Amino acid sequence: MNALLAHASLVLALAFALALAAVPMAAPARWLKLARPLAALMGLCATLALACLAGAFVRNDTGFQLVALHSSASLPVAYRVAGAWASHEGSLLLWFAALALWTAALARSGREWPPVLLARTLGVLGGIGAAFALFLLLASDPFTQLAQPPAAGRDLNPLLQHPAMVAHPPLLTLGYAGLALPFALAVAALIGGEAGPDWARRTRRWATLAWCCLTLGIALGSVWAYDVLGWGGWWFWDPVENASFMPWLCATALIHSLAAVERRGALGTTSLLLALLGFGFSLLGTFLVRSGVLSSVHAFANDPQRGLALLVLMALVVGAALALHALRAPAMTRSAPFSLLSRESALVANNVLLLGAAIAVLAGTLCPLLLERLDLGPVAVGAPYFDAAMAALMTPMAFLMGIGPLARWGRAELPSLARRLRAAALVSVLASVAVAWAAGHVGWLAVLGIAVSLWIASTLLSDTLRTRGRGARAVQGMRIAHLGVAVFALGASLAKSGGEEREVAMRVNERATLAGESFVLRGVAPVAGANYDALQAVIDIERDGRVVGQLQPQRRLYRLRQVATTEAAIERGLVRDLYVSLGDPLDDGRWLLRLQVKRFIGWIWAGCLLMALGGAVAASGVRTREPQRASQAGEARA
Amino acid sequence: MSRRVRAAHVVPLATFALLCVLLGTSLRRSPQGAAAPEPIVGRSAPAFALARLHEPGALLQGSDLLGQVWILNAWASWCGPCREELPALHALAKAGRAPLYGLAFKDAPQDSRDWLARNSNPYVQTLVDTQGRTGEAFGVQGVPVTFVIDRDGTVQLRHDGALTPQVLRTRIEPLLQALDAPAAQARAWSALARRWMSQGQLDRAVDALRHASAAQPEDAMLLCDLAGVLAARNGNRLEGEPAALVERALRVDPDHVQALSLAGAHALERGDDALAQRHWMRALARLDANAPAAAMLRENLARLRGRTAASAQAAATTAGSPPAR
Repeated sequence: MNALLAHASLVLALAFALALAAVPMAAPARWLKLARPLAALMGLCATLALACLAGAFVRNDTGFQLVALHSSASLPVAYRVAGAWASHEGSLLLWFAALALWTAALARSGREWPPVLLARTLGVLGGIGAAFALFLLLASDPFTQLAQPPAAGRDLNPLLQHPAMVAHPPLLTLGYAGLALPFALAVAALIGGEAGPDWARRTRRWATLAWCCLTLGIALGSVWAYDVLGWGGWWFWDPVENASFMPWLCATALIHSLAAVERRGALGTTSLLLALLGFGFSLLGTFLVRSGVLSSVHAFANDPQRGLALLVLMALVVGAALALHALRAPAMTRSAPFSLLSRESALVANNVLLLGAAIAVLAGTLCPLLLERLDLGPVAVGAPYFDAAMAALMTPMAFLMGIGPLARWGRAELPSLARRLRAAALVSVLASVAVAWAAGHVGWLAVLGIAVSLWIASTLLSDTLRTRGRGARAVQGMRIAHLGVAVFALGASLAKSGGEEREVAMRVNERATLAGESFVLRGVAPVAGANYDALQAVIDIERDGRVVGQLQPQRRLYRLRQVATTEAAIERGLVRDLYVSLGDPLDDGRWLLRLQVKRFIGWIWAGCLLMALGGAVAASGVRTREPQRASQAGEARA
Repeated sequence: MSRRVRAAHVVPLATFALLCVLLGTSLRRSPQGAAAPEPIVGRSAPAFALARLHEPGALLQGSDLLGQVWILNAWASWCGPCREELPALHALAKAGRAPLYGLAFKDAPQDSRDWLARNSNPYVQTLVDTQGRTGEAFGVQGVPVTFVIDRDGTVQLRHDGALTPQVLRTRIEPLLQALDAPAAQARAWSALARRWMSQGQLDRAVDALRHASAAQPEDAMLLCDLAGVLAARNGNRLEGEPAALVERALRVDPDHVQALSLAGAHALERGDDALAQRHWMRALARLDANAPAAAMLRENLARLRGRTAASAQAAATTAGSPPAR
């Protein structure tokens, strides 16, 4: 019954998506009114289909193949929900539902848009939605029923049983799918032949919201890797991580570029291209994670057949849009003049650097593939390449971040700009020398990162002081987000350079010290969780003879899968994290423990949170009501 | 509209088309249904049989290396950091705690040989993995990667990136030391024995259990396991060395259930039914009434009381069955 309902909702969602795609092609203008209700219905049906799957997981209905493979009766409810998107099929259903929800949201807020524009935008989204729904129904059915339901499910992969895995996939998927909105708006603009301030205003809100989701999703993924993988690292330049980073870089460029279009009518065709590429990267990421082209620790079960279907989907959607861009954009190039020293110039450089970074990441990710294809022998591209590429591109980027917001639109005067930046430059140089000296031996990359961070923060401060904190929502959001970048850069630099680790064998009540922290092993005892048995160590953290904290690392054995995991215990702090993992017992009664002190790790995610918050503030400032003039003009153009 | 502007706008489309071609062709090359590598630490090292770089005629198999702790270092002549870790590798080889094997990952044999000749060779043997299949089975994506593999073939450690003196000091040396502890040795050897037994290689299982027992002579369970396998090799007869081992086990722990069961079986073998019954009753008293072993013992006792001729054989089979630890 439930499976029937689920299939029916998915089929209906497909029907509505197809109808939505057909609306703008329909001749009679009064039919255009159908687009909004159709979008809402598609959103409703897709959500219902996802809810059916999540419901089956919560009820542990092992008649569903996915439930039997990825859940069990002993799995806590929150992780059962996470199980709904732990599989290839489930994650694509989540993708489709996210797209349908964004589409419905855009339809709701686009009430006052010119009907043709709205119908075209929704039509593109309907087309993409139809492709996904068709793919789900034909090649990747999430509701497959088992003729003989097993008595017990196989449980969720233990590595995914972490709080971050409940929220990370939906946020990341909302980010990926959300980039379809700027994409659709760009395609509609290319068809209409107009990408001016009105287009930018309508696009910026959705681009920014999707970017916020993507930021939070990536940050949560990194929290998960730090907590679960047990190495204490937070970013590994893994193909799957890169797949989420590329659309993020592109979307970042887009939301900045849109500011120039909205205020000055400049960079219109560039912004269109960025909107197309942003979604292109997001589809590329979706494809890379699921096709088995690149191997990664995070990838889903791979399947070349489905990979091919996803590749065709991506090639058609993005290829058609880029072809349209190549045809129409040259005629739309109409740039308002701006001088070399102006905010527009800074934003052009911003676009070039961010897109360059995305391409550098793409090159690093696909380079092994390309060289193998050309039989040039295998090559390992690792963290050193990515670190160097990012340092090379992001340092000038950060320099511009200091200057750009202070530069005038159109034409800035060098003397006044220099006057405004003088204090900030002095402060950041002196402060970074001081920090580097205080932190002791740190690498030059770290010093560079600290300097960059302080430069952003001090220019931000001087700008805020000069304007006494006044400014539109977009400006306030920009300040918060840029502060987030500064916090992130500081955290990433200090985390890379600082930090100590040590492996010790400890007896009960024995003490070990690391970086001035005292760890006392109080005992190791068996404990039982909902679906695992564990050995748990209790470790007191002492300072000046007083116990200031307690850590309880575990070694778990998940009963159903018989998989052993190491559950590190982490005491998070403002300037340092204590990270302890429990190892094997030695035969003389001692326990192996891995103690790590990580510096400023929390700042990395605090920075991401600030960026997302800034994005949300900026998006909330976008006017949703169409100004009378624009709406009429738009209608006339359409 | 100049031609140049138009051309510039085609660049993204053309690049994207090339990208799709690259991805499409790679898709077909990727192995059918290949799953993402699962973390290898804690699992058995994948089986392999590879040519040796310096003696190309002779293959080296993973199973040849069972029974010792060994280190595998995946490297390649095209990898920069692999040169940086050479001093650490030499230090590791010189310490002599475990033999160091190299795996020339996706590297042409001549390049590997030249590289080793040009720099220096810390390895006892280097295995040729030109296609990278074995490395990939180990989960290697980039090099260098170092693995520590236990006596029973379990991968105990994976280190990504160049080895440094600090990594040696904090990760590798403590692990090698821990693996040499008697308890760890006994655990690995008996795991290896189970593996040999499941393949029907009783001689090798006996050898592994002798090592395990040598590491922990006071472990009654190991003595029983060894007695059981020796008996199985000997047509399920306990007379001789197996019986002596059982006696030793009972000296260590007079209440040991397996030892008592085996001692009972041995008594039966010699026709001493009363002694067999005493041993088994004592074993039964130590067991949970619901345990499967208890049911089996009760069954044996019942048959013994019936004094059927088949009972002796059955008891020997039950008690002498492969050790379950």
